[in-house]
Amino acid sequence: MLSKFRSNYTLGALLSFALLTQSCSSTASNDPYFGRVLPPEGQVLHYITGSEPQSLDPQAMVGQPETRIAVALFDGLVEYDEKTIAPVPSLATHWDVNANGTVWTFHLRPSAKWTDGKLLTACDFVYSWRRGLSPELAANNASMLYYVKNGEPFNSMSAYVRDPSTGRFATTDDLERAGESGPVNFSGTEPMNFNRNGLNCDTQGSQAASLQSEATPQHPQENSSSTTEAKYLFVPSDEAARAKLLNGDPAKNKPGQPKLARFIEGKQFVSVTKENVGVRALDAYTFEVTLEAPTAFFVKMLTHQFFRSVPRQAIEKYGDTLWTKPGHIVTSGAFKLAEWIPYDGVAVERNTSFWDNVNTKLDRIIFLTVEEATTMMNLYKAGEADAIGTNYVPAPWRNQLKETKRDYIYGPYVTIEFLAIKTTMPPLNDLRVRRALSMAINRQILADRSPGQLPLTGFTPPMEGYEGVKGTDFNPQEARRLLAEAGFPNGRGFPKIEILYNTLESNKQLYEIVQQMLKTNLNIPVELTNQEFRVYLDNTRNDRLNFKGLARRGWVGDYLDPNTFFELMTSGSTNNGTGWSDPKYDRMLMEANAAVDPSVRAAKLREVESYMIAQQPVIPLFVKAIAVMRKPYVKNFESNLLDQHNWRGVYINHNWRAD
Amino acid sequence: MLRFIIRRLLVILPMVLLVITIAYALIKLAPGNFYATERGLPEAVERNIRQKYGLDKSWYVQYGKTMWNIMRGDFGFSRKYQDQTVNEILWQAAPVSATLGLTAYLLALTLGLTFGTLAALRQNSALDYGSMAAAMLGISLPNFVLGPLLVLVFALTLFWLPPARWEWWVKIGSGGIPNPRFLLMPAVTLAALYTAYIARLTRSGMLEVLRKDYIRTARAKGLSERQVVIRHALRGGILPVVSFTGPALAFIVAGTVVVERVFAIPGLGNYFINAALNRDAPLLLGITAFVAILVLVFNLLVDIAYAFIDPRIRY
Repeated sequence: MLSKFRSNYTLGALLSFALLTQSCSSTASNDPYFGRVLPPEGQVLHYITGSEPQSLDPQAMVGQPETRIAVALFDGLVEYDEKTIAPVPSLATHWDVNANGTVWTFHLRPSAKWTDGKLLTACDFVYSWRRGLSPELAANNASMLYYVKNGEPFNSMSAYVRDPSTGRFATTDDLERAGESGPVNFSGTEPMNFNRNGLNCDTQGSQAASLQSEATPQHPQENSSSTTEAKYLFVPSDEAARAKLLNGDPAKNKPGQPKLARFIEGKQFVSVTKENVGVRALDAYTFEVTLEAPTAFFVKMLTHQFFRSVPRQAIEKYGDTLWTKPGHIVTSGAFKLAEWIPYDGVAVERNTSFWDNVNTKLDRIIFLTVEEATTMMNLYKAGEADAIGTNYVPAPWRNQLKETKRDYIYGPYVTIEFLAIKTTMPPLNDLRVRRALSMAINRQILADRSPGQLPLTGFTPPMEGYEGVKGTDFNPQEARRLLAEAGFPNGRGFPKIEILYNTLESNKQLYEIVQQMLKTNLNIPVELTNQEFRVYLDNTRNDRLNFKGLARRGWVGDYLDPNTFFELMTSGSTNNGTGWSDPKYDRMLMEANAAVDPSVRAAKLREVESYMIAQQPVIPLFVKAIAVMRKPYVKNFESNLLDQHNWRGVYINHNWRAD
Repeated sequence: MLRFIIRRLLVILPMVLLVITIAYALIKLAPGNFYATERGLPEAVERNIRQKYGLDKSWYVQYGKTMWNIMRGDFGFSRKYQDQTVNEILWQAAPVSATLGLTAYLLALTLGLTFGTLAALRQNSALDYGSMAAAMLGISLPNFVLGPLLVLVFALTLFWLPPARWEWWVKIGSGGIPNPRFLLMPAVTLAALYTAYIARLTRSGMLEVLRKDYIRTARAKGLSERQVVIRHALRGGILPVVSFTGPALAFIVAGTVVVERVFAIPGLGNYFINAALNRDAPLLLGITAFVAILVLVFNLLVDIAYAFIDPRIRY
């Protein structure tokens, strides 16, 4: 079975090779653009977004191709700025944050409507965020909402522990205080029910709620509970899962917890419900979010499609999977669904009832779903597509396109390429060895292989308001000295290690160079191992680390904040993939994120980054680049850091030659 | 004859179930899972997903449930394309692949039979060498080279045809009459290999038959050369082509994988590849069952066709 997959990749490689000749012959011409420049009639954009959407449900999708469609269909509290990708007000006209950054209040635009005419209210957001976290939906992205108060306990089906005699709840402090000697009185009061002081969105429905509000809006600080509310103790609400936790799980090598078992014996378990999740509607147009901890970058995350509101009326009528069908779907964005032909394209058209319809310029966008990169380039060249999403331009074409064509645009991308080191494996558990490996790699050569890529020694791509730190860079003499110091002079006695990567021609070419660099500069043998994508994912999981030495990793930032990268290396992160775990690092990151002042926070984040990079659990290689094709008549369409687009401003300039 | 057909039809169901079972075992044994992405999942999220899809149940419960639903014709929702059922996907994609595949096969049959017969009749002539050389080229030129070459010439240099995609000219249900502008290049790309095979099979079949006694008898009866070839020789000469048709037709319809990718055609091919890559068990089982049924049915049709073409065969 696997060989079948492999031949498919080989085939792709052959295909691109066959078409390489084609590109060379055309780029050699003096034409400043790649292929025909034929503006479409009217304001219609044909955009190649990549593979077939997994779903049109913004809470079910994970891939980038479909997120671009979701941005067109669903309005967010905030929307991407086309150039800087920073959040700009959209459904929320403005927002307030309390002094310590834990309670965010969003003031919604009263003129916003769903495509079925219903008003879009704060209750829609309460419903949507609870749905995103609900165990029944089982959203892949659910952890993005773990920043919200009780998001994680609700999603992981946890329960509070209550003492039936006093009615009070156990806190983590109580558990700590519980000595061997005797029982402890629980100190927690009734947990916060966020329905209580807000609108009851459950009974009134999203529509009715907008009209009558019994609760008077309160200043967020007055009812903010997060600062005063105790840290409750959570245990699994499911009995079998609880037993597994208490008695230990020999299969996963987890010890039992006899102290906890004694502590909760004879107590009641109260499941965390959706009402415990820190979201509420203060009134129809005021949406309040209480966070678990101060989180300065919270609003930067909210452009992500997972935080956009989904239509309760359609979901309750048609169910979690069928509501996205044409004819069922109800949306809120500048565009609405017109047609969806699987594996051909998704067409969206202007939503005339959108609150900002006057500023929407395109009448129709056709998101073409094509998978083969060369086929995309053919469609573009023949003038059948007006723009192509990032990273589909075949890598070997890029340098030449950059030299000769004006419609190839490139720039930095919030994506880093690095090698994860299995730090639990000798001799890689020796810091000197890890640093030596890092110093043996000439990053400039790797970065220069494609226009716009930047060598990377720290762990962050360039981001506004944050200057990343520098780590160990190319220095072969020092690398050899460190390796000798660690007991491997001139690589003698160094065990065979491997670089594991997912099967892809471009990965192979890249890591052959790295392999050669390690051989030349340190004289150590490195094997290259490739595995089909899902096998590779399985083997690089943090609880497996089933590779000998190094594994290739790429990480695309979800939002424009260093935290999206630093979070990877925390102890609890399933994306860590190195076996490195340091409580000090976790604490430093938490403290940095709690800093409200941006410059203080940036300084603290720099400390976090230098601390981690000094330990070298990873070998950063380079920052990847955006590579986009865009016809000259497509305006207001930039090569931004996330390759996400604010489709409202994009337009076709039929008079483009005059520009 | 009728008994033969009924007996064969009765075999199809257990055969398909067996194929599905093997496919089910293979996809369960393959490492990795459908929900994994580059972003690792917290334990709770993974548990929720496993619970939602019943993966926390024992394997025989899962297998039993899957098979029970399949026997009722319900493959369930695709794991990857979460808004679509497998039946919907097949309903949408199969007509596209079938149209492309049948067009290609008819093209291959027409050209292959014509050139194969002519080559046999004028053995060792320029026509014979010419068409067999072309056939050799057709066999050795893979479609992922031929397709892009056609695109380069007709779509990117002459701008006569669109480089990719698919369009129904008249839409009937989920199928219809295809727009020939979109159909032409993929059909030719797909047909090349089969044309070559059929031409070679026809040629050798005809060469053998033309030396047979009954051909001499036919000629001795004073039949015209035209009648000898069409009524007598061709019937025997195309038997190898007929037996090649069964599997070829099934694979051509289901396995237009490469051509569909090169030309971005919304047929079964893309789904087939991606179902395996995504560990999308329901979709993979659905397509496997569909292909298995196609192969078995076409083989049956071929066997029936034998009885009509070859007077020696009786069931």
